[in-house]
Amino acid sequence: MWEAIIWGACLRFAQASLQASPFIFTGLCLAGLFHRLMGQQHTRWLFGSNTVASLFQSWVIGMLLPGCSLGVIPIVKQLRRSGIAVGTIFAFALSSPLFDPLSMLYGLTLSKPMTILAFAFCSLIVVTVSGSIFDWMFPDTEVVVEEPPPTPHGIKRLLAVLVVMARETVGGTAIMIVCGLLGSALLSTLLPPGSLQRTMAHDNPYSPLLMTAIAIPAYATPMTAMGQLGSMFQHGNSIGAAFILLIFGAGMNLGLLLWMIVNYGWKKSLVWMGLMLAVVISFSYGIERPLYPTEIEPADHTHAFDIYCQPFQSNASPAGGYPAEILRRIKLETQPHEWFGVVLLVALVALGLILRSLDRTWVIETWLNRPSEIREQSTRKTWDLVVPGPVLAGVGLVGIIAFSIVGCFAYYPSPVETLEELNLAKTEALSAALNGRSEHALHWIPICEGWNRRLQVGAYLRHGRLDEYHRMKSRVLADHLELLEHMMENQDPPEEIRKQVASTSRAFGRLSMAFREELR
Amino acid sequence: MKLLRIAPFLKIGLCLQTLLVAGCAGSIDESNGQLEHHRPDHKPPTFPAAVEQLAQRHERIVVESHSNEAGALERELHEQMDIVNWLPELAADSALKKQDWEQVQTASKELLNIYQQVDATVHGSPRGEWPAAVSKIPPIVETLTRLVPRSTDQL
Repeated sequence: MWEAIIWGACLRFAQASLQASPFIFTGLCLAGLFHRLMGQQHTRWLFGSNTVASLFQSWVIGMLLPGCSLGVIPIVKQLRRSGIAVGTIFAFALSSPLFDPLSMLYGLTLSKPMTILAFAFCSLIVVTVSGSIFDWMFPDTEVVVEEPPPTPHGIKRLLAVLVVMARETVGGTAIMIVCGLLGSALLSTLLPPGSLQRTMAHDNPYSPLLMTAIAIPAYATPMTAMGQLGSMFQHGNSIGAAFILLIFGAGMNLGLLLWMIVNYGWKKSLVWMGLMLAVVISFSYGIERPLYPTEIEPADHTHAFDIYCQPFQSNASPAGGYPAEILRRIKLETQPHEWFGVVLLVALVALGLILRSLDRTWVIETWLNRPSEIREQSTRKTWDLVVPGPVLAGVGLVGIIAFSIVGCFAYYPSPVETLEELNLAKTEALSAALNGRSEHALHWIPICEGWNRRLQVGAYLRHGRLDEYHRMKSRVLADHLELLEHMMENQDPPEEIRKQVASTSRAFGRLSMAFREELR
Repeated sequence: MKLLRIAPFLKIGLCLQTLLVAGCAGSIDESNGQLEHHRPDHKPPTFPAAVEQLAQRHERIVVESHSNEAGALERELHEQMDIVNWLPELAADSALKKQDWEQVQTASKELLNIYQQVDATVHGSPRGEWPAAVSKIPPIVETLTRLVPRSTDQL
C-alpha cells in the first residue's frame, strides 16, 4: 500500500513540475527584467505601493501577464526588493496565476462565460478588500534593499538578466518552488484514488470548505484550473467551490505561503491568510445561488479532481513496476512546451551552479557592473542608440504579453486543423474501446475531450463568437465520450460498449459537419 | 532556522486538512466502484421519441387538469418541462442542420414559457384558469413533428 502512495506522490510531483516549468521560466524572465532593467524605482512606479490604486494596478498587470502560482515566486521576491508593500505584492501574486490570455479564452467559451467574468471581478474585490485591510493594519511592510549598481548598456545588460535568472534557480526561490510542488505530492498521499469524485456537490454546504482544504496545498496551472472549472459547471458542482479552486488552487501554494512566512513572519502571514480565507469563503457562499446554472442536471460524480488524489490503486500494482509506469505516463502526457520549459530550466540551473562554484574565485557581477570603455561619439553609428533599461524592460513585458496572445492561435488551431487532431484521437479511443483495450481507450478519451474544448475556443478566437448550435454539438460529443469512459472503467459488456462507440462516432461526424460547413 | 520554525504550522495545517478530507476517503466504494451519470427514467433516448412523448404527455396533462388530483398533474407537468428542456440537446444529437436546430431551440423556449405559466396556475389556490397561450402548444408540437424526418441520421 505504501509503495503505491509513495510512487504516486513521485508521479504527482513530476507532473506538477513539468506543467509548471514554462511558467517558472516566464517568472524568472520577468524577475530578471525587473531586477536588472526596470530597476527598483520604475518597478515601484509600475506597481505602486500601499494605496488602493496600487492594488488595482497590480491586479491588472497580474491579469495580463501569463504565470502560475509557482512562477510568481521569483517575481514577488523582486517586488519585495523594490520596496513594494505586501498588499500590492499579493494582489499581483494572486491575480497573475488566475487568468492569462489562454485560460481566459477557454473560460469565455464555457457554457456560462458570465460566471468567468464574475469570478474575475470577484478576484479584484478579494485582492482589493484584503489588501487594503492588510496595508491599513501593517503600513510598514515596504523594505529597503540596496540596489545593485547599474550594468553598462550592451550585451552585458542582457547577460546580467540571464545571471539573475540562473542565480534564482539555485537559491531560495528554488526551495520555495520545490515546497510548492511538494504540496501537490503531499496532498496526493492523503487522498485515496478517486476519493473526490462524489464531493463538491452544489447542495453540500461544506463543499467550499472542503475545496479550501484541498486547493491551498494543491498546484494548478491557469489552464488546469479553468478546465476543472468547466467540468464543475458541466457537472452542476458547487459554484462556491469552483471559485475557491480558482483563487486558492491556481493562485496559492505552499511555496508562496512559505515565502510569506519567511519574509514577513508568522503574525503578518496568519493575518493575511485569515483575511484571505474570510473574504474568499464569504464570497464563495455569496455567489453559490446567483451564479449556479439552473439548467444543468447535476451529475453524481466528476473526474475533475482525480489529479489531486493518489494515481495508483494500492491493490493493483502496474505490470512493469511503478518507475516504468511513471515514465510511461509522463511520456504520454507531457506536452512539447512543457519539455521545452524543462530544458530551459535545466540549462539555467546548470548555469547557476557553475556561477556559484566560480564565485569563490571570480564573481561575474563584478565584471558585468564594471563600466565599459566609452566609445567615442564619432565612432558610434547613428542607429546605435542607447535604450534606457526601463524602456527595454517595458518592451520585454509587452513582448511577453503579445507572445502569450499570439500563442493562443497556436494552442487553439483553426477548427479544420483541430478536427483532424480530434479525428486521430477519436480513432485511437474508439478502436481501443472496441478491442477491449481499456487502458488505451482511457488514455485517449481525455485527449479527445481536450481537443473538443480547443475546437470551440479556436472557433471563438477566429469568428469572435460561438453560437449555441456549435456549443451544443460539442457538448453532445463530450457527453458521449464521458459515458464511454465510464463504461470502460466499469468494464461494461462488449455489446453495450459497441453501441456507445457507434453513437460516439456519429456524434463526432455531426460535430465535424457542423464546424466544417455551418460555421460563420 | 526560519524553515524549522514553520514546521509546527505545517503540521497543524496537515492535521486540519486530513480531518477535512477524511470524509472523502472510501466514498467511491459506496456504489461498488460503479460510476454512472444518473439518467432520469423519463428522458427520451432520441429527438423523435421526445417529440412523440411531448404530444402524448400534453394530452395527458389536459386530461389530468380536469381531475382533482393535483399531485399527478404536477408530476406530469414537471416531467413535460424536463423533456422540453432536453429538446435542444436531443436535437443536437440528431442529423438536424443548424437552421432546423434553431427552430427546435425556439420551440423549446416557447413551450417552456407556456408550461411555466400553466405550472403557476396549478400551484395557485384555488387552481386558476389556464393561460390562453396553451392553445399555441399543438401548433408548436406540430412544427417539431415536421422536423422529425430530417432528424434521422444520414451518416
